[in-house]
Amino acid sequence: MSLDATYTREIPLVEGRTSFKEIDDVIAKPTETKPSIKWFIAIGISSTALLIGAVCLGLTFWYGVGLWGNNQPVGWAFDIINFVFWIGIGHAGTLISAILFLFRQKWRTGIARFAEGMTIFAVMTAGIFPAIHTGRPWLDGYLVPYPNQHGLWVNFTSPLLWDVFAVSTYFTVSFVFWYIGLIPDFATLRDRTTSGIKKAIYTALSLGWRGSNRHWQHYERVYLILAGLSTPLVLSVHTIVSFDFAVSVIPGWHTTIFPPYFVAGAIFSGFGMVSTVLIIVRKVFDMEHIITINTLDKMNKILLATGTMVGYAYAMEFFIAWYSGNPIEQFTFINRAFGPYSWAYWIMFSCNVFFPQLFWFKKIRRNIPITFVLVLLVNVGMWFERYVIIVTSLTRDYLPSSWGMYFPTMYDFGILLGSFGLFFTLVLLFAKTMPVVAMSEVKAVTEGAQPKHKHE
Amino acid sequence: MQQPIIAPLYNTRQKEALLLGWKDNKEVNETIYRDYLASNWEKALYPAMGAAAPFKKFWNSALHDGVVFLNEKPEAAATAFSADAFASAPKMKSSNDFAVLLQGNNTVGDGRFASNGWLQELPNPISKIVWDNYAAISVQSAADLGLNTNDTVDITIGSKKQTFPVYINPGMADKTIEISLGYGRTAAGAIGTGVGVNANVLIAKNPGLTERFYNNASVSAAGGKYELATTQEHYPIDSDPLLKEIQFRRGIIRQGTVDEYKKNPKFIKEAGHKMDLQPINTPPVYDREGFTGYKWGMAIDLNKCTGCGACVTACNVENNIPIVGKDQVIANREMMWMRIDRYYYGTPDSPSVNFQPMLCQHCDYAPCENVCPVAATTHSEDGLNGMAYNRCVGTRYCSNNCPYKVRRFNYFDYRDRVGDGIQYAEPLNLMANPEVTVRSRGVMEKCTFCVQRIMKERQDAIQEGRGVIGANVKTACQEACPAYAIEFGNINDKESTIAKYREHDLGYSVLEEIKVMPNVTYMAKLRNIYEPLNIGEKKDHGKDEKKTEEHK
Repeated sequence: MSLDATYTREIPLVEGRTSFKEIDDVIAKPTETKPSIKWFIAIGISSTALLIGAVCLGLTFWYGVGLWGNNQPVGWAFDIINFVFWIGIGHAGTLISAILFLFRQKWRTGIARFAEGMTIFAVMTAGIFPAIHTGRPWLDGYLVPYPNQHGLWVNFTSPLLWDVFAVSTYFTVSFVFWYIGLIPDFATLRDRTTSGIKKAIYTALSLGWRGSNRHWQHYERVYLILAGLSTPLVLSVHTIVSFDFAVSVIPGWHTTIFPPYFVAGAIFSGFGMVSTVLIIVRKVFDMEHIITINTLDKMNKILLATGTMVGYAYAMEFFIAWYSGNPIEQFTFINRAFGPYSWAYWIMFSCNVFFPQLFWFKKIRRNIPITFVLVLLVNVGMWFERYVIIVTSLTRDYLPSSWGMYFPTMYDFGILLGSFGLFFTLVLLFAKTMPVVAMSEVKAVTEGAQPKHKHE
Repeated sequence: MQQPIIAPLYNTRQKEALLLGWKDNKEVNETIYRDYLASNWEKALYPAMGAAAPFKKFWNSALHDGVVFLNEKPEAAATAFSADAFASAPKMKSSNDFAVLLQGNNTVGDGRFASNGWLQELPNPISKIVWDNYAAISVQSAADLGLNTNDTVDITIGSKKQTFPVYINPGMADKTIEISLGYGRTAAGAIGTGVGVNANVLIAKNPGLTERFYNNASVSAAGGKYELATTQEHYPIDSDPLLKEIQFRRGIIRQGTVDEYKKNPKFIKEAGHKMDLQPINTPPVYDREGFTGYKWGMAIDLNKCTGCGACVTACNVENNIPIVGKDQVIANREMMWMRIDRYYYGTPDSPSVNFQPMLCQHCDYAPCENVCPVAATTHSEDGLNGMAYNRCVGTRYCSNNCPYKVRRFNYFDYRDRVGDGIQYAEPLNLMANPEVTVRSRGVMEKCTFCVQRIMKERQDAIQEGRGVIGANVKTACQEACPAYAIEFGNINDKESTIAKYREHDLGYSVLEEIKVMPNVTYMAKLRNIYEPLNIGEKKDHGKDEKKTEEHK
């Protein structure tokens, strides 16, 4: 690792002068070899978690959402916390692949594919929660505006309905974007594999890609257009999710700062989760020279920036509560920080605002174990942010007579565990069957891949 | 005199008719006892009454009234109060002893109604505790004994001993414990068996005093825990300045003294503008059309409300509201559409209480309506906030966004869940009001202003070719209120009682600052005391003083 890089020369994005074949070999290796015992242990754990979640969910379907801790006044709790949490996680992928692509941030290439994959899986995980949180999940179809003989129509003034459109649009566009990016790599895998079944699958998935000039031209164009289409979605999805709260009349929810605050928090949590998983993946798959420490350093800088933005939002909420002169609003925020749920508030505050400040130090940004701990804390903190917003605001709203505490049950924890199980099971299957790094893109940013000009 | 309220459900016979049949060796049928009674009245009572009306008419009016007055005497003149009535009251046996008062319960009585789930789940007016009795103790005595609410306590009177859960009740006299009888029954059906603790075991011969009051009880902490279920959070009186008397600062409860009212009848409305929270005069986001015909509204007079809960029970019965059981009340999931909020103020030793019946406010700009993704809760042209149960998916968003938190969610199929499905089984299933849908699991529900009664009046009006008359509709809670504290009707009819209530100087609506335009008007409470309460005006004292200085 060259820390002595001068400012006249960019730090190489891929370390060492790796040949194209070496890149293919490293990245395609997990898809071509038998899974290791470690992988089986990992998927054993994640699918067990998934199974626990599935059992809890099955019981919930059978007996009713009463198995959860939700009550009057806390109508939403773990269900919507998990939804917002996972949607937030799903924000890093599109940001990395779309916005950073448009800004020509080449360091994204090493992590883009994985982050996009995580986006897809996080949105899939998130999408489960609005569907299962309803009292009568078998009637969820009512949320879709379809012509019917009852003459019933959905209510377009409800932010929950906007969610349906926002999340499904986001999922569709992210999925298409991810798939388009995968086509050249599927073709590479198709060409490399010797197994007949794999060949058939990769042939179908690569849509007849031959790598011709014409193909590349169309591909680059589509990729750019999709990046342009996805960019506003990065900002819009969590804006709309934040409307679930901002459009209400409940103190602590009814806040105009929510859209930017939620978007910053989503990117923050997304990067936190991407870092968490990548730190493991680059180690396990020997990709430390492709997903370099410089990339992690840059991601930590984004974490620092978004974490500080989130901290600003926390402070601004308090300021506005005071500045508004509205005593109910003021009460809500004092209650958040010092009331019965202050422990959750301070977990959130320290994990999201205090600890990421350590990333000001270059040594910490480039220290993998410390980074790993800090990004784990970011995941915890961002989950608690949603807990604080949803639960503490609902437990004590306008009429003190209707105040009530919230206590989660084992089913709540089981389903939360199950959501992690689903996410990591999908991630592990992805890592075993598809190239986790964009081979074609990495090749373009290796040393020596660019056209040479006159040597100075 | 009583009339039967229901035809015999099964092939049964009246006990009195049986006796008559055996006595006179007659065929037993449904009318013989009534005939016997009527002929007795005709012979024995009717002549003595000297009534001008024929017997048939007299009989019918007696049946209607339930009572006849015979040889009424003028009221006796008031006698002087004898102060020495207290002289012989026995003193406490020793200074360590507690006084124990055993009382019939305000819901289950002496236990005879213990198998009635609605009564078991009707909150105590003060403690808001359901499904249990408890030893109510003063704040000071509890501190002396190191007790907290939900601890258990051993109460020993002579040789009798029983363990009770503790509830710290502000305003109780020190060294006094009050316990409800009627609990701890061992054979009271699926609902009543094993609910609470049997306090009858403490009853003993008590020379010089009634068997309901003992002056020689010893009380000690039993060291156990027992969870009491309450429908309102436990903060009886808060010393925390953030929470203390928050009901006044938020304008939820407004009250004053009679003197203040006499001086300035509009003082409540003016004080409203002096509170911390100011109504924001911004135009609404969208226009609410119409309400040009009749529009329903309710007024609740807080001066008349005693917090008894009769309205809550009436609402439960009218609207097929299930009981949920103690565990679900602990989980904050009671289903009652109407609740009586209790707010304390003052000190723990001598608190005052305000009661406030709280129900769906049928807001003109109902925040629940715009957030429902499937439009399951919508507004009607006559000002009702309606619920289409069939359409409800159960997102609970409406409940979250309700500032009054009056919506209720069926987290389970409660009818099936409580007491082995007793609410579905014969004969309790016959209890359901056929005019009201029984709600399933996963559906939101709330007060409808007894829409079924409104529909009945509308049908009558159509049939009779007239307009809808607001005063013809009486909601279940209104009918049940013994103090006539609830008024209901068409607020667009300016001559109606309800319209007058709404325009009354004491009228206010709860949380009017957030501009949801509720349609329940509360009459501020006037207290007949001399000290002005000055509630909600603290902030303006400084300003007023300055003004008077300037005048000087």
